[in-house]
Amino acid sequence: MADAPTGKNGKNGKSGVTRVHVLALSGESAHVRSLARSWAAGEVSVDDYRTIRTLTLEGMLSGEFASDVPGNASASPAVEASGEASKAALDDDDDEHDITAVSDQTVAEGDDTDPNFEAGVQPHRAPAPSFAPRAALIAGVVLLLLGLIILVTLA
Amino acid sequence: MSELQWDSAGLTDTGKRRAHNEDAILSRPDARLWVVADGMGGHAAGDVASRLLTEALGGLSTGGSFPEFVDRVDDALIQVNRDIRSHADEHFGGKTMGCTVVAMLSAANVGVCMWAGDSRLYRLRDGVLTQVSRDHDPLEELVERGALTPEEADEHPDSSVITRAVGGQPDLCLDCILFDIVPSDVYLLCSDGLYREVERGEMRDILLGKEPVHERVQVLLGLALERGARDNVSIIVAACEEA
Repeated sequence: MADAPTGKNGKNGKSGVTRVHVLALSGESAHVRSLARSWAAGEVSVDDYRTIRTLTLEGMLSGEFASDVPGNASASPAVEASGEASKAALDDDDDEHDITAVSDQTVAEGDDTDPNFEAGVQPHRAPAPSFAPRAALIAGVVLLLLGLIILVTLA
Repeated sequence: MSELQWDSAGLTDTGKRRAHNEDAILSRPDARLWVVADGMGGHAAGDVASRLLTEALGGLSTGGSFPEFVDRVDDALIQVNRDIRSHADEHFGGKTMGCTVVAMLSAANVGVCMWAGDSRLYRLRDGVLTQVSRDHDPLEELVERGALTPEEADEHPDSSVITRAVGGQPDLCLDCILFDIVPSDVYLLCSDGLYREVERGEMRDILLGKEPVHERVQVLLGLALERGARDNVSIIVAACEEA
């Protein structure tokens, strides 16, 4: 499924089916990655994806789930066009220049307090959950889905 | 797992060519949530879209677990997608209206980046500046497949076309990346108004500086303005240290 091009200036925008994928789950989370790919292909529901994301985050927060930006992300070439952007053509006769003062909230700095997540479930203070059952659960879901996909394909 | 403390600052600027600023930023150190949105659709459309987005995220509560908070951000963005499309139908006859978004969330030593469009999250670690998000544009895939070099992509007439945006499609699907955070990491969220004017090496050198975070933001903005700032420029820098 391809993304639908959308012109930033709105001149060539159109609706279309979007492509979904999840990046960055590495190491022990290869099984999650494969499920994410299934989700990307429209074979896994958003709810399932969220369950996976939650499990992965919990695993990472507990320190049992090593994850990082994949190596190829850093090698991902940036498209830093220096050409005149189409949207820059808008209103280009105006030299108005003002720095927007953002609200207190948006410019608040250096607050060292923890986010106000519920104390009982504050992720980095929660007892480390055992990941093995989670891995088994995720692996089971993956296998089940793959089985279904194969069955549907064969049918 | 070590505790991290964050220092962050952000600026958004109209730039030198535009009449209006369609970008919006949100910095919520209380929730460890930082957002840059780049509006599209022209004045009274793009700026409405980006403002709707930052207001929605600005009002989110932080109760519950971190994964739940991530889900709430996801939900809020999906709702904003609907709101923007409704607003476009009601006020602009269905004209395309929307905004890009890049959001970074953090809890403990874990970071989450969610995005749609070509606003970016970069990470500076050990002197290396890495682009965490990947642009949603037709050229990115071609470059990844080797069909285009980055230089060719730079010259391509579609360099400003994006394939995903909040408000751009009936169903918003955000990309999401989960990553570890280590002390001394510096994160930069920005709209394309910055990286089209300031080269990656220059960004790295500025972010490597020892000045306070808000000064580094000002230096980045100053450089973009010095180069002509053809578009609105939005910058948030968030640096973490061990508490």
